[in-house]
Amino acid sequence: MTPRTAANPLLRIESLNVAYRRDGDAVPVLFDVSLSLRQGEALGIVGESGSGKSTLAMAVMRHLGRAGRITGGRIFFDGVDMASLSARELRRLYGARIGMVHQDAGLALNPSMTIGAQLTEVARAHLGSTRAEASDLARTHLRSVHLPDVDRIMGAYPFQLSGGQQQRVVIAMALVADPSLLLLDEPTSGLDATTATGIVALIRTLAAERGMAMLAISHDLHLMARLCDRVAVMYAGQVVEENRADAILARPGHPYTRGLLECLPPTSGAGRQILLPVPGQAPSPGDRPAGCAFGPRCGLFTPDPCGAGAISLHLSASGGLVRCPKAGGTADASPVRGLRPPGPEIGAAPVLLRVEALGKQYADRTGRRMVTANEGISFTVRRGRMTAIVGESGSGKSTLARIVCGLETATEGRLLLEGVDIADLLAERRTVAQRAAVQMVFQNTEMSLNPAWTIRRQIMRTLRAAGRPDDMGAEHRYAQLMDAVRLPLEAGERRAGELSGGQRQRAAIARALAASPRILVADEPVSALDVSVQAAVVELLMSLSRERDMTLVVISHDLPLMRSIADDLVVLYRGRLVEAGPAGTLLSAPVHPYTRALVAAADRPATSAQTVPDKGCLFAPHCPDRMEVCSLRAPPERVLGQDHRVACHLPDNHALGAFGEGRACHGHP
Amino acid sequence: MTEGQVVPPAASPAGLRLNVLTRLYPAVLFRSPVGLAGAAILLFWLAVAAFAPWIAPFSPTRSFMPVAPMMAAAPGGGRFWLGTDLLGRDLLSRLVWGTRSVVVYAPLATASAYVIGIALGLWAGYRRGVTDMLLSRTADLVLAFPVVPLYIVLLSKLGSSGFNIVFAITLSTTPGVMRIMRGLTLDLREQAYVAAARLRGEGTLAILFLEILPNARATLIADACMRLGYVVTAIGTLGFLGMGLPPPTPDWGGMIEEGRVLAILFPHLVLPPCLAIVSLALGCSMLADGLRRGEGR
Repeated sequence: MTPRTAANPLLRIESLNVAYRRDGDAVPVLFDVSLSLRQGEALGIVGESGSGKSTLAMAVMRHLGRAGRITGGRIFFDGVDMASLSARELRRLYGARIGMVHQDAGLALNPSMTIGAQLTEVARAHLGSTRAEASDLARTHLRSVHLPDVDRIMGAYPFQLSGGQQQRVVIAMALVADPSLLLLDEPTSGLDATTATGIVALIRTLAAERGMAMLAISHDLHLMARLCDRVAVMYAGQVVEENRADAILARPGHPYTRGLLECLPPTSGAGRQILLPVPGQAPSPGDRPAGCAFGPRCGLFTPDPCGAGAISLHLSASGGLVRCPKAGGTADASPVRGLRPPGPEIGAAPVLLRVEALGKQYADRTGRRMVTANEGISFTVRRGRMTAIVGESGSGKSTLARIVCGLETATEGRLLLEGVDIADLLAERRTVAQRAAVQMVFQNTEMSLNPAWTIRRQIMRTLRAAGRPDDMGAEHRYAQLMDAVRLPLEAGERRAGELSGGQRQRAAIARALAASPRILVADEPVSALDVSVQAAVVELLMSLSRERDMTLVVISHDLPLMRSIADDLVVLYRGRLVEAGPAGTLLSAPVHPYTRALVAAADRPATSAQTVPDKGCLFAPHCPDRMEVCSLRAPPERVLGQDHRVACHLPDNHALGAFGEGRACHGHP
Repeated sequence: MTEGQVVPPAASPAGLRLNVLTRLYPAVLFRSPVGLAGAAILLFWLAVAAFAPWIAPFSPTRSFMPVAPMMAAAPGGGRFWLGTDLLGRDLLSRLVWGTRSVVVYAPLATASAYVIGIALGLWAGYRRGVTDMLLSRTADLVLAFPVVPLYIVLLSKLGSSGFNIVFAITLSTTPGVMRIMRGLTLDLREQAYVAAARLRGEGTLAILFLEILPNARATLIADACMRLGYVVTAIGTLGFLGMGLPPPTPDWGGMIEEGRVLAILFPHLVLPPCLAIVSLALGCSMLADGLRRGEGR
């Protein structure tokens, strides 16, 4: 099964070069990209932002925009050079023979048309179906993507569907014309892990049933390996490695591929392993170093073969192609990762922050209805023990973080910072010490620093606000902070827009540290960053926490990452506490069915917005162990061990059967 | 989604300089021919106003009655390039001197509307709730009032003078500015850097003027140019209604009014001041367009 023996590929890309025009200059973004895709085969393209992966897909779709231009190479689809096709012929090709699933399903669907109208439109435009035929076809395809209650969905508007359902609709739409090639751009971005798992399984099945080829694009190497037969890794506009999916995970040939794997937390197993970051950052287009583009970040770099000239693709030890002169020698070196030292024992760690039955309600837009963001949340943050608050979008974890920091007040319950209740105090009304004690790092690195001012000014203002008016002291502490987050001093003279995402997040961390916080709340601190720089920021936070006696509270939807760093876990579902306790206990013996589903990353019924019960347990409609009482009464909160709480009617975990294996992801109760 | 459209962080110092430069408006403008033309028109009128004593061939108030024929027409040829008006005054000179009042009062009125509008808009958008409701409803009230009757009432009550013209125009322009600033504030107050400022204990004034306002700058500057054009037209309207600067001070709107009755017989009486107002207003909106396009990149 060597990839290159394909006699008659469906899609063949031959040394494609693409450049974008910027301020009059042509900036090359793709260099000699050659790929081929056979009938029925799935190829995944993995790369970070700026790697050229989206440009590649857009070049295939001939959708480069006004600034982009193919400067060399050819693209053949089914043996036909696509450059020779007229705009009319191309349009007939897209939709009919090539389907596309766009990145954000919510934006790909027209918000003012019903799902049914949008699907039938595709059938009528590309297949020339009559209205009745088109409607039948639409229903068939909605069923084929396992959407429940097809009649309701046909009449629904996109905003009435959950993210997972929207994604399924978009897939159904791409399939209506029965294409032989499906392009997928980040097919699961924006979806929760459990929903994403279902989508991946669905896409694989559909492709296999139809013998449809797929070209998928993602930043997520593991996802591509699950979805595709072959994976190509792109870096700075070049394919640096291409191989079978299993081989690329087991024996990555290129140092970059290996770096991508090592900087991620292990997907399974109990692993509190230290992540190995890839140093530096990817070059911006038009700023590539001579020779190997990855050279400046590579541990194996030597001036002679690596920096001398262009590196060509050659056969790797594991049967794929790799663009690295050193790949042969060290290809078998398996990642060596140290184990992360655990935080202090629960008994030895004093309570820093106690959250007691905290709740937050606010009026909705009309001002008539009250919306509950948080209700009855209790957990404990102990000094030196890293607490992770996990939950999917809409679980109320960000609201909780904002209350803890004083950006909002709670409407019920208590928030005890070393014994003093600060639940009702906005940051403005807290004392200087209370305010400084809890600081925050935000998710959106672009907007967490004021674009109008330099980094240095923002850090200095925080230093001065923390109560050190003398300039000399502040200057000195500023230099220390920049050093602590490993930013060069000259970066401080720049504005946020001139820094990379990783640098911005370091600057934001430095600004938060300037207040000398006891607790640092980090809301999705790395989710907006490229994979290869995520690990560096995570490890920076961990080491700062140890060095400065600062307790981390991290909000995240990324359970694999959290389980590799957290000492305590707090699991939320739709604003309610599901389970909280020491990470070891929760991961090895989860009690609540939802925690078990998360830990197993198992498939579960799609949680749609329509099925929120108005009383009882909110998870009940999706719970495999649902009992009669669950839909009648809200679950009581039980304390099972020190700091271990669970909100569930199940008496204890011994009475449970196996968690719903083989359960279909579309069943409604 | 196409990566080429996202300007990636520049790693080299040279790239950085370039990034900083593009923040400056001249550089932004040079990408837009329309904006550049608008800027040229504005500069032209500014120069005319500044050098009026040297450009104007005569005093704007001097009557050439005995020399010039009654109701002098005949633009071009002879001593009066644009002809003379009903009182025998040189139209070109009046036009040139008339530039001064527009070029002084229009920016003055716009600026004062901006100072007040920005302060109120920031306050309403940041405070929200009752403060916002009171300010916004008051603004709606003023906006709902037809502009021309408002001017007539105000100026006939107060008497027309430079100060009162600025006052009347400020009153009618401020609510629009306030609404824009309020909208921007509602959006910007939710940004994480505002939250970060609150967490370090910045006062409300610091948050409004140091965190929020600088980030509204681009939109506000483009909008200010646009509004300056409206104000130029408004000042012309006031002059036309006889509420501009009291005669014999030359004033574009006033010139149109004086020539209005005989405009069909002698179009040269009204065309030059009309074109002057149109070109100045158009220049302002072209400049605004160029700035907005430059920003939109």
